[in-house]
Amino acid sequence: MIVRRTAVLTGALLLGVTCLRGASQVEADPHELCERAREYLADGELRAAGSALSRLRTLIAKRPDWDPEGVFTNELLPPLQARLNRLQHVARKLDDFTVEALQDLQPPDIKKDISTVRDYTEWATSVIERLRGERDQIIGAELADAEERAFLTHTESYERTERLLEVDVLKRMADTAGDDILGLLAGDPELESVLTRFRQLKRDLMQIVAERDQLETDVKKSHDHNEAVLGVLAAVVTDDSSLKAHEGGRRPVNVAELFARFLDGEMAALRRRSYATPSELDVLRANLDRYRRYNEVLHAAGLGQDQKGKIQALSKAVDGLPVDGRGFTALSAAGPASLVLIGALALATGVLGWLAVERGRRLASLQSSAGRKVAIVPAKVRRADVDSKAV
Amino acid sequence: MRISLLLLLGAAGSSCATQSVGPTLTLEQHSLRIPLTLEEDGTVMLAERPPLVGRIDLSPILKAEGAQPGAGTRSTVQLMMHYGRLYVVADAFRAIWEITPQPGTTTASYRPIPVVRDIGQEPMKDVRLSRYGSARSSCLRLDRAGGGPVFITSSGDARDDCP
Repeated sequence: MIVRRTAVLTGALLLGVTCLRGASQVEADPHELCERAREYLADGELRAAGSALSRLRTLIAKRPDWDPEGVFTNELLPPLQARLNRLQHVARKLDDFTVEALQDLQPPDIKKDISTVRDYTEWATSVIERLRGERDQIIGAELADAEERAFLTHTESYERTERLLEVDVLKRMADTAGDDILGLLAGDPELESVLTRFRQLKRDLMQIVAERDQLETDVKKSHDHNEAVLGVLAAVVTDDSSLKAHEGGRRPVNVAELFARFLDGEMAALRRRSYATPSELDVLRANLDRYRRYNEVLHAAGLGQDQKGKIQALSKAVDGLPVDGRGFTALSAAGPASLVLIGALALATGVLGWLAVERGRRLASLQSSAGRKVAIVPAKVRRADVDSKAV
Repeated sequence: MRISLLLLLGAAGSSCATQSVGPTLTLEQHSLRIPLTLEEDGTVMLAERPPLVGRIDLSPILKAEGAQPGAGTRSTVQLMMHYGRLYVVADAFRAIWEITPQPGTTTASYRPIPVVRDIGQEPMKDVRLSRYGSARSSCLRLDRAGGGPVFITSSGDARDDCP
Protein backbone atom coordinates (compact mmCIF):
# COMPACT_ATOMS: atom_id res chain seq x y z
CA MET A 1 0.00 0.00 0.00
CA ILE A 2 2.81 2.34 0.96
CA VAL A 3 4.69 1.46 -2.20
CA ARG A 4 1.59 2.13 -4.27
CA ARG A 5 1.02 5.48 -2.60
CA THR A 6 4.64 6.37 -3.11
CA ALA A 7 4.46 5.50 -6.77
CA VAL A 8 1.28 7.50 -7.24
CA LEU A 9 2.74 10.49 -5.43
CA THR A 10 5.98 10.27 -7.34
CA GLY A 11 4.17 10.12 -10.63
CA ALA A 12 1.94 12.99 -9.70
CA LEU A 13 4.91 15.01 -8.50
CA LEU A 14 6.91 14.41 -11.63
CA LEU A 15 4.07 14.95 -14.02
CA GLY A 16 1.98 17.38 -12.07
CA VAL A 17 4.45 20.00 -10.99
CA THR A 18 5.67 20.47 -14.51
CA CYS A 19 2.26 21.94 -15.23
CA LEU A 20 3.06 24.97 -13.09
CA ARG A 21 3.87 26.88 -16.23
CA GLY A 22 0.81 25.67 -18.01
CA ALA A 23 -2.77 26.66 -17.66
CA SER A 24 -3.60 26.86 -14.00
CA GLN A 25 -7.01 26.11 -12.60
CA VAL A 26 -6.36 28.66 -9.89
CA GLU A 27 -7.39 32.27 -10.41
CA ALA A 28 -4.57 34.46 -11.72
CA ASP A 29 -2.74 36.40 -9.03
CA PRO A 30 -0.57 39.53 -9.36
CA HIS A 31 2.62 37.54 -9.74
CA GLU A 32 1.17 35.48 -12.56
CA LEU A 33 -0.25 38.54 -14.33
CA CYS A 34 3.12 40.24 -14.01
CA GLU A 35 4.90 37.25 -15.53
CA ARG A 36 2.37 37.07 -18.35
CA ALA A 37 2.82 40.76 -19.12
CA ARG A 38 6.60 40.28 -19.26
CA GLU A 39 6.29 37.35 -21.64
CA TYR A 40 3.83 39.18 -23.89
CA LEU A 41 6.15 42.18 -24.05
CA ALA A 42 9.10 39.98 -24.98
CA ASP A 43 7.01 38.42 -27.74
CA GLY A 44 5.93 41.81 -29.06
CA GLU A 45 2.28 41.17 -28.23
CA LEU A 46 1.63 44.65 -26.94
CA ARG A 47 -2.17 44.39 -26.81
CA ALA A 48 -2.03 41.24 -24.69
CA ALA A 49 0.62 42.79 -22.44
CA GLY A 50 -1.58 45.84 -21.96
CA SER A 51 -4.51 43.60 -21.11
CA ALA A 52 -2.48 41.67 -18.52
CA LEU A 53 -1.23 44.86 -16.90
CA SER A 54 -4.75 46.26 -16.87
CA ARG A 55 -6.03 43.13 -15.15
CA LEU A 56 -3.19 43.38 -12.65
CA ARG A 57 -4.04 46.99 -11.87
CA THR A 58 -7.73 46.18 -11.48
CA LEU A 59 -7.04 43.20 -9.24
CA ILE A 60 -4.81 45.20 -6.93
CA ALA A 61 -7.25 48.10 -6.83
CA LYS A 62 -10.21 45.88 -5.98
CA ARG A 63 -8.36 43.62 -3.58
CA PRO A 64 -5.40 45.46 -2.08
CA ASP A 65 -4.71 42.43 0.10
CA TRP A 66 -3.01 40.87 -2.92
CA ASP A 67 -0.37 43.56 -2.72
CA PRO A 68 0.89 44.07 0.82
CA GLU A 69 3.18 47.11 1.00
CA GLY A 70 2.36 47.90 -2.62
CA VAL A 71 5.24 45.93 -4.08
CA PHE A 72 3.40 45.35 -7.32
CA THR A 73 1.84 48.81 -7.44
CA ASN A 74 4.99 50.74 -6.68
CA GLU A 75 7.86 48.54 -7.73
CA LEU A 76 6.93 45.96 -10.33
CA LEU A 77 4.07 47.42 -12.31
CA PRO A 78 5.46 50.91 -13.17
CA PRO A 79 8.55 49.74 -15.09
CA LEU A 80 6.48 47.22 -17.02
CA GLN A 81 3.87 49.85 -17.83
CA ALA A 82 6.60 52.30 -18.84
CA ARG A 83 8.15 49.72 -21.13
CA LEU A 84 4.76 48.98 -22.67
CA ASN A 85 4.12 52.69 -23.18
CA ARG A 86 7.46 53.16 -24.91
CA LEU A 87 6.90 50.18 -27.18
CA GLN A 88 3.34 51.26 -28.01
CA HIS A 89 4.55 54.77 -28.76
CA VAL A 90 7.20 53.54 -31.18
CA ALA A 91 4.80 51.03 -32.69
CA ARG A 92 2.36 53.85 -33.44
CA LYS A 93 5.16 55.86 -35.00
CA LEU A 94 6.09 52.91 -37.16
CA ASP A 95 2.49 52.53 -38.28
CA ASP A 96 2.37 56.19 -39.25
CA PHE A 97 5.68 55.81 -41.00
CA THR A 98 4.38 52.87 -43.02
CA VAL A 99 1.21 54.67 -44.07
CA GLU A 100 3.07 57.84 -45.04
CA ALA A 101 5.77 55.95 -46.88
CA LEU A 102 3.17 54.10 -48.95
CA GLN A 103 1.39 57.35 -49.75
CA ASP A 104 4.62 59.03 -50.79
CA LEU A 105 5.76 56.22 -53.02
CA GLN A 106 5.87 57.91 -56.40
CA PRO A 107 7.85 56.18 -59.11
CA PRO A 108 9.74 58.49 -61.52
CA ASP A 109 7.68 60.21 -64.20
CA ILE A 110 7.95 58.03 -67.26
CA LYS A 111 6.64 60.77 -69.54
CA LYS A 112 9.72 62.90 -69.02
CA ASP A 113 12.31 60.34 -69.88
CA ILE A 114 11.60 57.12 -71.73
CA SER A 115 14.99 55.62 -70.95
CA THR A 116 14.31 55.18 -67.24
CA VAL A 117 14.00 51.43 -67.12
CA ARG A 118 17.27 51.24 -65.25
CA ASP A 119 16.22 54.21 -63.18
CA TYR A 120 13.29 52.24 -61.83
CA THR A 121 15.59 49.69 -60.29
CA GLU A 122 17.80 52.41 -58.88
CA TRP A 123 14.77 54.23 -57.62
CA ALA A 124 13.46 51.13 -55.85
CA THR A 125 16.84 50.43 -54.30
CA SER A 126 17.35 53.97 -53.10
CA VAL A 127 13.80 54.21 -51.74
CA ILE A 128 14.15 50.99 -49.79
CA GLU A 129 17.48 52.12 -48.33
CA ARG A 130 16.09 55.51 -47.42
CA LEU A 131 12.96 54.06 -45.80
CA ARG A 132 14.97 51.51 -43.88
CA GLY A 133 17.23 54.25 -42.57
CA GLU A 134 14.25 56.36 -41.53
CA ARG A 135 12.64 53.47 -39.76
CA ASP A 136 15.79 52.55 -37.88
CA GLN A 137 16.23 56.18 -36.95
CA ILE A 138 12.75 56.30 -35.43
CA ILE A 139 13.46 53.20 -33.38
CA GLY A 140 16.93 54.33 -32.31
CA ALA A 141 15.67 57.73 -31.25
CA GLU A 142 12.79 56.36 -29.18
CA LEU A 143 14.23 53.21 -27.66
CA ALA A 144 17.59 53.36 -25.93
CA ASP A 145 17.36 49.87 -24.48
CA ALA A 146 18.64 47.14 -26.82
CA GLU A 147 16.29 44.63 -25.21
CA GLU A 148 13.30 46.82 -25.97
CA ARG A 149 14.49 47.27 -29.55
CA ALA A 150 14.60 43.49 -29.82
CA PHE A 151 11.09 43.22 -28.37
CA LEU A 152 9.86 45.76 -30.90
CA THR A 153 11.01 43.62 -33.80
CA HIS A 154 8.38 41.06 -32.73
CA THR A 155 5.51 43.54 -32.97
CA GLU A 156 2.99 43.70 -35.80
CA SER A 157 3.96 47.30 -36.50
CA TYR A 158 7.57 46.36 -37.12
CA GLU A 159 6.48 43.49 -39.35
CA ARG A 160 4.41 45.92 -41.37
CA THR A 161 7.48 48.06 -41.99
CA GLU A 162 9.39 44.96 -43.06
CA ARG A 163 6.65 44.17 -45.51
CA LEU A 164 6.78 47.73 -46.76
CA LEU A 165 10.49 47.44 -47.44
CA GLU A 166 10.51 43.97 -48.85
CA VAL A 167 7.24 43.77 -50.75
CA ASP A 168 5.23 46.94 -51.03
CA VAL A 169 7.85 49.13 -52.69
CA LEU A 170 8.52 46.60 -55.42
CA LYS A 171 4.85 45.84 -55.80
CA ARG A 172 3.98 49.51 -56.12
CA MET A 173 6.60 49.92 -58.80
CA ALA A 174 5.40 46.87 -60.65
CA ASP A 175 1.74 47.80 -60.39
CA THR A 176 1.72 51.53 -60.84
CA ALA A 177 4.80 52.35 -62.84
CA GLY A 178 4.54 49.24 -64.96
CA ASP A 179 0.91 49.95 -65.86
CA ASP A 180 1.64 53.61 -66.61
CA ILE A 181 4.47 52.67 -68.88
CA LEU A 182 2.50 50.00 -70.64
CA GLY A 183 -0.44 52.36 -71.07
CA LEU A 184 1.82 55.09 -72.39
CA LEU A 185 3.62 52.91 -74.83
CA ALA A 186 0.68 50.90 -76.10
CA GLY A 187 -0.21 51.64 -79.68
CA ASP A 188 3.08 53.27 -80.65
CA PRO A 189 4.80 50.92 -83.14
CA GLU A 190 8.11 52.75 -82.80
CA LEU A 191 8.28 51.96 -79.18
CA GLU A 192 7.27 48.32 -79.51
CA SER A 193 10.67 47.08 -78.36
CA VAL A 194 10.51 49.31 -75.28
CA LEU A 195 7.01 48.07 -74.57
CA THR A 196 8.22 44.51 -74.75
CA ARG A 197 11.02 45.29 -72.33
CA PHE A 198 8.64 46.86 -69.88
CA ARG A 199 6.27 43.91 -70.07
CA GLN A 200 9.19 41.67 -69.40
CA LEU A 201 10.27 43.92 -66.55
CA LYS A 202 6.84 43.75 -64.99
CA ARG A 203 6.75 39.97 -65.27
CA ASP A 204 10.22 39.78 -63.79
CA LEU A 205 9.28 41.98 -60.90
CA MET A 206 6.19 39.95 -60.13
CA GLN A 207 8.20 36.79 -60.43
CA ILE A 208 10.84 38.17 -58.10
CA VAL A 209 8.18 39.00 -55.52
CA ALA A 210 6.67 35.53 -55.83
CA GLU A 211 10.08 33.87 -55.60
CA ARG A 212 10.98 35.94 -52.58
CA ASP A 213 7.74 34.91 -50.87
CA GLN A 214 8.48 31.30 -51.68
CA LEU A 215 12.03 31.67 -50.41
CA GLU A 216 10.76 33.19 -47.19
CA THR A 217 8.47 30.21 -46.71
CA ASP A 218 11.30 27.79 -47.47
CA VAL A 219 13.65 29.61 -45.10
CA LYS A 220 11.05 29.48 -42.35
CA LYS A 221 10.50 25.76 -42.92
CA SER A 222 14.22 25.18 -42.93
CA HIS A 223 14.62 27.25 -39.80
CA ASP A 224 11.87 25.31 -38.01
CA HIS A 225 13.48 22.07 -39.10
CA ASN A 226 16.89 23.21 -37.87
CA GLU A 227 15.40 24.24 -34.55
CA ALA A 228 13.76 20.83 -34.19
CA VAL A 229 17.03 19.07 -35.03
CA LEU A 230 18.99 21.27 -32.65
CA GLY A 231 16.39 20.63 -29.97
CA VAL A 232 16.77 16.88 -30.39
CA LEU A 233 20.55 17.24 -30.45
CA ALA A 234 20.45 19.29 -27.28
CA ALA A 235 18.23 16.66 -25.67
CA VAL A 236 20.71 13.94 -26.62
CA VAL A 237 23.86 15.68 -25.44
CA THR A 238 22.30 16.79 -22.16
CA ASP A 239 20.55 13.51 -21.38
CA ASP A 240 17.17 15.15 -21.96
CA SER A 241 17.62 17.78 -19.26
CA SER A 242 17.49 20.64 -21.74
CA LEU A 243 14.05 19.91 -23.05
CA LYS A 244 12.19 21.43 -20.16
CA ALA A 245 14.42 24.44 -20.03
CA HIS A 246 13.59 25.11 -23.63
CA GLU A 247 9.97 24.13 -23.79
CA GLY A 248 7.59 26.91 -24.66
CA GLY A 249 10.49 29.15 -25.56
CA ARG A 250 10.57 30.89 -28.90
CA ARG A 251 14.25 31.65 -28.75
CA PRO A 252 16.65 29.57 -30.80
CA VAL A 253 18.14 26.45 -29.29
CA ASN A 254 21.73 27.01 -28.23
CA VAL A 255 23.13 23.50 -28.07
CA ALA A 256 26.59 24.68 -27.04
CA GLU A 257 25.25 26.64 -24.10
CA LEU A 258 22.96 23.81 -23.01
CA PHE A 259 25.80 21.32 -23.26
CA ALA A 260 28.12 23.56 -21.23
CA ARG A 261 25.41 24.07 -18.61
CA PHE A 262 24.78 20.35 -18.54
CA LEU A 263 28.47 19.70 -17.89
CA ASP A 264 28.39 22.28 -15.10
CA GLY A 265 25.41 20.47 -13.64
CA GLU A 266 27.22 17.15 -13.85
CA MET A 267 30.21 18.70 -12.09
CA ALA A 268 27.98 20.08 -9.35
CA ALA A 269 26.37 16.66 -8.93
CA LEU A 270 29.80 15.01 -8.72
CA ARG A 271 30.97 17.46 -6.09
CA ARG A 272 28.01 16.58 -3.97
CA ARG A 273 28.93 12.92 -4.01
CA SER A 274 31.08 11.63 -1.21
CA TYR A 275 31.86 8.26 -2.78
CA ALA A 276 30.96 5.91 -5.63
CA THR A 277 30.62 2.19 -5.93
CA PRO A 278 32.78 0.44 -8.54
CA SER A 279 29.77 -0.04 -10.82
CA GLU A 280 28.85 3.62 -10.46
CA LEU A 281 32.41 4.56 -11.36
CA ASP A 282 32.14 2.44 -14.50
CA VAL A 283 28.97 4.29 -15.44
CA LEU A 284 30.57 7.67 -14.74
CA ARG A 285 33.59 6.81 -16.88
CA ALA A 286 31.35 5.58 -19.68
CA ASN A 287 29.48 8.88 -19.44
CA LEU A 288 32.77 10.77 -19.71
CA ASP A 289 33.60 8.91 -22.92
CA ARG A 290 30.19 9.82 -24.23
CA TYR A 291 30.64 13.50 -23.35
CA ARG A 292 34.00 13.50 -25.12
CA ARG A 293 32.40 12.13 -28.25
CA TYR A 294 29.58 14.68 -28.05
CA ASN A 295 32.12 17.45 -27.59
CA GLU A 296 34.14 16.35 -30.58
CA VAL A 297 31.07 16.15 -32.78
CA LEU A 298 29.66 19.48 -31.63
CA HIS A 299 33.01 21.22 -31.94
CA ALA A 300 33.68 19.74 -35.37
CA ALA A 301 30.23 20.83 -36.55
CA GLY A 302 30.87 24.36 -35.34
CA LEU A 303 27.98 24.16 -32.89
CA GLY A 304 29.94 25.32 -29.91
CA GLN A 305 33.22 25.92 -28.20
CA ASP A 306 35.52 23.10 -27.21
CA GLN A 307 34.44 21.90 -23.76
CA LYS A 308 37.54 19.78 -23.29
CA GLY A 309 38.51 21.68 -20.17
CA LYS A 310 35.21 21.00 -18.45
CA ILE A 311 35.29 17.34 -19.42
CA GLN A 312 38.86 17.01 -18.10
CA ALA A 313 37.75 18.61 -14.86
CA LEU A 314 34.90 16.11 -14.72
CA SER A 315 37.34 13.29 -15.38
CA LYS A 316 39.55 14.45 -12.52
CA ALA A 317 36.54 14.68 -10.24
CA VAL A 318 35.53 11.12 -11.16
CA ASP A 319 39.07 9.84 -10.58
CA GLY A 320 39.12 11.59 -7.23
CA LEU A 321 35.94 9.94 -5.99
CA PRO A 322 36.62 7.47 -3.18
CA VAL A 323 35.51 3.96 -4.03
CA ASP A 324 33.01 2.37 -1.70
CA GLY A 325 34.61 -1.10 -1.57
CA ARG A 326 35.38 -1.24 2.09
CA GLY A 327 34.37 -4.91 2.56
CA PHE A 328 36.89 -6.15 0.02
CA THR A 329 39.54 -3.78 1.26
CA ALA A 330 39.14 -5.01 4.84
CA LEU A 331 39.32 -8.61 3.68
CA SER A 332 42.53 -8.12 1.77
CA ALA A 333 43.97 -6.11 4.63
CA ALA A 334 43.38 -9.06 6.98
CA GLY A 335 46.05 -10.98 5.01
CA PRO A 336 46.72 -14.76 5.44
CA ALA A 337 44.08 -15.19 8.14
CA SER A 338 41.37 -14.20 5.75
CA LEU A 339 42.76 -16.55 3.08
CA VAL A 340 42.73 -19.47 5.53
CA LEU A 341 39.17 -18.62 6.50
CA ILE A 342 38.12 -18.46 2.85
CA GLY A 343 39.87 -21.80 2.19
CA ALA A 344 38.14 -23.45 5.11
CA LEU A 345 34.80 -22.14 4.00
CA ALA A 346 35.40 -23.34 0.44
CA LEU A 347 36.43 -26.80 1.70
CA ALA A 348 33.37 -27.04 3.92
CA THR A 349 31.17 -26.00 1.03
CA GLY A 350 32.76 -28.66 -1.19
CA VAL A 351 32.33 -31.42 1.39
CA LEU A 352 28.75 -30.48 2.07
CA GLY A 353 28.07 -30.34 -1.64
CA TRP A 354 29.58 -33.80 -2.18
CA LEU A 355 27.51 -35.20 0.71
CA ALA A 356 24.38 -33.72 -0.76
CA VAL A 357 25.10 -35.15 -4.18
CA GLU A 358 25.86 -38.58 -2.72
CA ARG A 359 22.68 -38.55 -0.67
CA GLY A 360 20.76 -37.55 -3.71
CA ARG A 361 22.16 -40.47 -5.68
CA ARG A 362 21.25 -42.93 -2.95
CA LEU A 363 17.73 -41.67 -2.72
CA ALA A 364 17.38 -41.84 -6.47
CA SER A 365 18.67 -45.40 -6.48
CA LEU A 366 16.22 -46.46 -3.76
CA GLN A 367 13.34 -44.84 -5.49
CA SER A 368 14.14 -46.48 -8.82
CA SER A 369 14.42 -49.96 -7.31
CA ALA A 370 11.24 -49.69 -5.25
CA GLY A 371 9.12 -48.05 -7.82
CA ARG A 372 10.21 -49.96 -10.92
CA LYS A 373 7.22 -51.57 -12.61
CA VAL A 374 7.52 -54.99 -14.08
CA ALA A 375 5.45 -55.73 -17.12
CA ILE A 376 3.53 -58.93 -16.68
CA VAL A 377 2.49 -60.37 -20.00
CA PRO A 378 0.47 -63.58 -20.14
CA ALA A 379 2.52 -66.14 -22.01
CA LYS A 380 1.00 -67.99 -24.85
CA VAL A 381 2.47 -71.38 -25.50
CA ARG A 382 2.30 -72.51 -29.03
CA ARG A 383 2.56 -76.12 -29.96
CA ALA A 384 5.52 -75.59 -32.21
CA ASP A 385 7.46 -74.10 -29.37
CA VAL A 386 7.13 -77.12 -27.17
CA ASP A 387 10.04 -79.51 -27.25
CA SER A 388 8.71 -82.79 -28.50
CA LYS A 389 11.17 -84.64 -26.31
CA ALA A 390 9.98 -83.05 -23.23
CA VAL A 391 7.99 -85.23 -20.95
CA MET B 1 10.20 33.43 53.40
CA ARG B 2 12.26 36.59 53.14
CA ILE B 3 15.33 34.61 52.15
CA SER B 4 13.49 32.78 49.41
CA LEU B 5 12.12 36.07 48.09
CA LEU B 6 15.61 37.53 48.06
CA LEU B 7 16.92 34.49 46.25
CA LEU B 8 14.16 34.78 43.64
CA LEU B 9 14.88 38.47 43.10
CA GLY B 10 18.57 37.73 42.87
CA ALA B 11 17.99 35.02 40.27
CA ALA B 12 15.73 37.29 38.26
CA GLY B 13 18.25 40.10 38.44
CA SER B 14 21.13 37.92 37.34
CA SER B 15 19.13 36.54 34.40
CA CYS B 16 18.33 40.08 33.31
CA ALA B 17 21.96 41.06 33.61
CA THR B 18 23.21 38.19 31.43
CA GLN B 19 20.63 38.71 28.67
CA SER B 20 22.17 40.94 26.02
CA VAL B 21 19.58 43.13 24.40
CA GLY B 22 21.15 44.84 21.40
CA PRO B 23 19.64 47.59 19.35
CA THR B 24 17.12 46.51 16.76
CA LEU B 25 15.98 47.80 13.41
CA THR B 26 13.16 46.97 11.09
CA LEU B 27 13.80 44.01 8.83
CA GLU B 28 11.16 42.52 6.59
CA GLN B 29 12.37 39.64 4.52
CA HIS B 30 9.99 38.40 1.87
CA SER B 31 10.22 37.27 -1.69
CA LEU B 32 8.00 36.63 -4.62
CA ARG B 33 7.42 32.97 -5.34
CA ILE B 34 10.45 31.23 -6.75
CA PRO B 35 10.02 28.17 -8.97
CA LEU B 36 13.06 25.92 -8.61
CA THR B 37 14.10 22.78 -10.41
CA LEU B 38 14.42 19.70 -8.28
CA GLU B 39 17.72 17.92 -8.81
CA GLU B 40 17.86 14.15 -8.94
CA ASP B 41 19.25 13.95 -5.42
CA GLY B 42 16.40 16.05 -4.04
CA THR B 43 18.22 19.36 -3.76
CA VAL B 44 17.31 22.69 -5.28
CA MET B 45 19.95 25.23 -6.30
CA LEU B 46 19.05 28.77 -5.28
CA ALA B 47 21.49 30.11 -7.87
CA GLU B 48 18.90 29.11 -10.44
CA ARG B 49 17.18 32.38 -9.55
CA PRO B 50 19.88 35.00 -8.98
CA PRO B 51 20.76 36.91 -6.89
CA LEU B 52 20.05 34.07 -4.46
CA VAL B 53 22.77 31.44 -4.20
CA GLY B 54 23.16 28.25 -2.15
CA ARG B 55 21.21 25.05 -2.03
CA ILE B 56 18.52 23.35 -0.02
CA ASP B 57 18.39 19.61 0.45
CA LEU B 58 14.69 18.81 0.20
CA SER B 59 15.12 15.05 0.22
CA PRO B 60 13.81 14.64 3.81
CA ILE B 61 10.71 16.57 2.85
CA LEU B 62 10.23 14.60 -0.36
CA LYS B 63 10.65 11.39 1.59
CA ALA B 64 8.06 12.49 4.11
CA GLU B 65 5.69 13.32 1.28
CA GLY B 66 6.24 9.87 -0.15
CA ALA B 67 7.80 11.22 -3.32
CA GLN B 68 11.16 9.97 -4.45
CA PRO B 69 13.32 12.43 -6.37
CA GLY B 70 15.17 11.39 -9.48
CA ALA B 71 13.67 8.86 -11.84
CA GLY B 72 15.34 10.66 -14.71
CA THR B 73 12.78 13.45 -14.91
CA ARG B 74 13.15 16.86 -13.37
CA SER B 75 10.30 18.56 -11.61
CA THR B 76 9.87 21.88 -9.90
CA VAL B 77 8.94 23.11 -6.46
CA GLN B 78 7.84 26.54 -5.35
CA LEU B 79 9.77 28.40 -2.72
CA MET B 80 8.86 31.63 -1.01
CA MET B 81 10.43 33.60 1.80
CA HIS B 82 8.04 35.06 4.31
CA TYR B 83 9.16 36.92 7.43
CA GLY B 84 12.58 35.33 7.12
CA ARG B 85 11.34 31.75 6.86
CA LEU B 86 11.24 29.72 3.72
CA TYR B 87 8.14 27.86 2.62
CA VAL B 88 8.20 25.05 0.09
CA VAL B 89 5.38 23.36 -1.72
CA ALA B 90 4.87 21.37 -4.90
CA ASP B 91 2.10 19.55 -6.63
CA ALA B 92 1.38 16.16 -5.06
CA PHE B 93 2.37 17.46 -1.63
CA ARG B 94 -0.05 17.15 1.25
CA ALA B 95 1.56 19.87 3.34
CA ILE B 96 3.34 23.13 2.97
CA TRP B 97 6.79 22.91 4.56
CA GLU B 98 8.25 25.63 6.72
CA ILE B 99 12.05 25.87 6.74
CA THR B 100 13.62 28.04 9.41
CA PRO B 101 17.26 28.88 8.69
CA GLN B 102 19.71 28.74 11.56
CA PRO B 103 21.89 31.82 11.07
CA GLY B 104 25.59 31.16 10.89
CA THR B 105 25.16 27.50 9.97
CA THR B 106 24.42 25.43 6.91
CA THR B 107 21.39 23.81 8.49
CA ALA B 108 17.77 24.66 8.99
CA SER B 109 14.92 23.20 10.96
CA TYR B 110 11.76 22.26 9.12
CA ARG B 111 8.22 21.22 9.85
CA PRO B 112 5.11 20.40 7.85
CA ILE B 113 1.99 22.50 7.97
CA PRO B 114 -0.65 19.98 6.91
CA VAL B 115 -3.10 21.13 4.27
CA VAL B 116 -4.61 17.87 3.04
CA ARG B 117 -5.27 16.06 6.27
CA ASP B 118 -7.61 13.33 5.11
CA ILE B 119 -5.70 10.25 3.96
CA GLY B 120 -8.34 9.44 1.36
CA GLN B 121 -8.19 12.93 -0.10
CA GLU B 122 -6.15 13.67 -3.21
CA PRO B 123 -2.89 15.57 -2.68
CA MET B 124 -2.60 19.19 -3.74
CA LYS B 125 -2.61 20.24 -7.37
CA ASP B 126 -1.88 23.51 -9.19
CA VAL B 127 -0.31 24.92 -6.04
CA ARG B 128 0.71 28.54 -5.91
CA LEU B 129 2.28 30.68 -3.22
CA SER B 130 1.61 34.42 -2.84
CA ARG B 131 1.77 37.13 -0.24
CA TYR B 132 -1.51 38.40 1.02
CA GLY B 133 -2.79 40.81 3.63
CA SER B 134 -1.82 44.21 4.85
CA ALA B 135 1.52 45.93 5.10
CA ARG B 136 1.56 45.52 8.88
CA SER B 137 0.64 41.86 8.90
CA SER B 138 0.83 39.88 5.72
CA CYS B 139 0.26 36.16 5.29
CA LEU B 140 1.66 33.57 2.98
CA ARG B 141 -1.23 32.47 0.81
CA LEU B 142 -1.39 29.00 -0.67
CA ASP B 143 -3.84 28.50 -3.52
CA ARG B 144 -4.58 25.11 -5.04
CA ALA B 145 -7.07 23.55 -7.40
CA GLY B 146 -10.25 22.27 -5.84
CA GLY B 147 -9.64 23.72 -2.39
CA GLY B 148 -9.87 26.97 -0.53
CA PRO B 149 -6.81 29.10 0.10
CA VAL B 150 -4.69 28.50 3.18
CA PHE B 151 -3.05 31.41 4.96
CA ILE B 152 0.17 31.09 6.94
CA THR B 153 0.58 33.87 9.47
CA SER B 154 3.83 35.56 10.44
CA SER B 155 4.10 33.17 13.37
CA GLY B 156 3.70 30.16 11.10
CA ASP B 157 0.11 29.23 11.94
CA ALA B 158 -2.19 27.93 9.23
CA ARG B 159 -5.62 29.58 8.99
CA ASP B 160 -8.55 29.89 6.61
CA ASP B 161 -8.22 33.65 6.55
CA CYS B 162 -5.50 36.23 6.98
CA PRO B 163 -5.99 38.15 10.21
